[in-house]
Amino acid sequence: MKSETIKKRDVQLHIKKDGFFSFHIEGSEASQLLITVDKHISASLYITYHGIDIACNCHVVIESGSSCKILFWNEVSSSMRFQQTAEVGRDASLTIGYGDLSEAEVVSDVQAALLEEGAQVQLLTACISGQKKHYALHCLHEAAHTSSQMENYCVVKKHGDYIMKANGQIKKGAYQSTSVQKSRVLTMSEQQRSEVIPLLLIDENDVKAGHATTVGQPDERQLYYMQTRGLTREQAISLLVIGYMMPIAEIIDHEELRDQLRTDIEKKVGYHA
Amino acid sequence: MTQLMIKDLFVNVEGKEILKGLDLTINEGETHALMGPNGNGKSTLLAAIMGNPKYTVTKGSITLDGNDVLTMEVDERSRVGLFLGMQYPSEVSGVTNSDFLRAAINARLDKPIGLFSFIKEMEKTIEELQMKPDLAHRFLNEGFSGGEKKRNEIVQMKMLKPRIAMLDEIDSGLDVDALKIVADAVNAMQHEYAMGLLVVSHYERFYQLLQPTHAHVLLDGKIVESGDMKLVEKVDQEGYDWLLEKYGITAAKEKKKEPVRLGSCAAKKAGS
Repeated sequence: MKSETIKKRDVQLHIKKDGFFSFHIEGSEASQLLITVDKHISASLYITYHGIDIACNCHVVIESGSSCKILFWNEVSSSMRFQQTAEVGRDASLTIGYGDLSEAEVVSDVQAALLEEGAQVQLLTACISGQKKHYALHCLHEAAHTSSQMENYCVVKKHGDYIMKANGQIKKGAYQSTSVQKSRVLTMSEQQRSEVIPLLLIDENDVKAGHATTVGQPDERQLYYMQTRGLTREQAISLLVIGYMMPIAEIIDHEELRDQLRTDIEKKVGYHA
Repeated sequence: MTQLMIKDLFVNVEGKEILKGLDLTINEGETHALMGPNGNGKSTLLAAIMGNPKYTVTKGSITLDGNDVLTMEVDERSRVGLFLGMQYPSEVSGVTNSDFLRAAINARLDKPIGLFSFIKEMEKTIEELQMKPDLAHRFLNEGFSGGEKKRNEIVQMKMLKPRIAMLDEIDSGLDVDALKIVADAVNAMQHEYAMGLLVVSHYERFYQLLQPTHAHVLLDGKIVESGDMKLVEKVDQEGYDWLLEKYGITAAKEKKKEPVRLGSCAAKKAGS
């Protein structure tokens, strides 16, 4: 898999053709990233962030009729502050995944605006929290016939500190819009904090909205069932954890990338199949 | 030769004694039918053999080829060759059938199974059980119908090749065709190698298909009568009353739910 390494402070990615692109960004304390996807383009971007103490401001513009999938993978080593805004135009679709297996403290704030009719946004996060991982996601529906979906997975370990604030906001006039969200948190220790705050702010009658949240420890019956087939308790737990992390690795339809991420995830959870 | 031996087994569930001195020996190649009214300990026996943490063995022994099963963890029991096909298999979201099974197979191998040979074998087994080809990529039992879950248990059994397999009401929730498919698969396995079987079922039909070499009736925590297929037929025709009479036992009965009486309407009473 070819990847372009970028070390500049101000990065502009202007996507003018279809395809899969991979970038490896060496961040700094004041990184800027602008991603623009032209009209009627279908592109997938895999972007990894590296460095120490990174603060990044990112803006994404998806022009009408385009479809773009972006997977951000955090490989920063100490702390990461990530602020993102996104604008999605008419009949355009944007999927963004935020994957984080790192030991870094993360504070992430994402706002996606569905500006014109037919816009679609999907935000996915997956992380393993052994330290501070605070996320705020906000999907703002400005126009009719728009849809947003937020899906969050987190495995919270000892000393983990996870906050997920997911906000679906549908403005007056954005009729026949849909905003749904789902968060699943697996807690592995009593010495942790995890909080999921689902918000739905709806100013229009003719809409669909919903949220689902599960927070809890591994299910003993599931573990027993898996053990009766020969897996140790540790192996069974690892498989469950991999199950929480894999949806994000699959958002970009690229076999090599998916396999590589799967290997990374398995390594992280200490699982060897 | 493989032999599972259970001697004088007493088992508690949440403080209540369910098995009260049970003896049973299963040799390789044998098929044992285990019958008895609900609530008399059939499922408890199977769960205790597998090591379900809810069940406490207070007395007696279970050995496989002379090795103490009771000191083994659940997963160890599986790896030495015990298998329990469950009445209510768990649903595990996020873990695909193929990842799960591959991990289960690898857990008993020194060198992991090659991906290609695994996929080939899984596809073959799925076809034998006449399940949808996408089974491998679906999450473990998630959203499966009752019958699909049961057949998936047999898929796992076929791929894990246990020495002694126990099936706990695996036939309930299966239609006639599916029952035949499951029975054929089990019979084919026994034809391939001398797997021992302990089967709990309420239906003579399943036993007709499996043709057990041994049959037992479990009443009030003990095996009271043993025999062969003739015993299965007799129970099918006559029920358990003759046995209860013969041994002077009151079978443990599952509590029936009484309809709730709401009483007479207070408003009406006041008005009359």
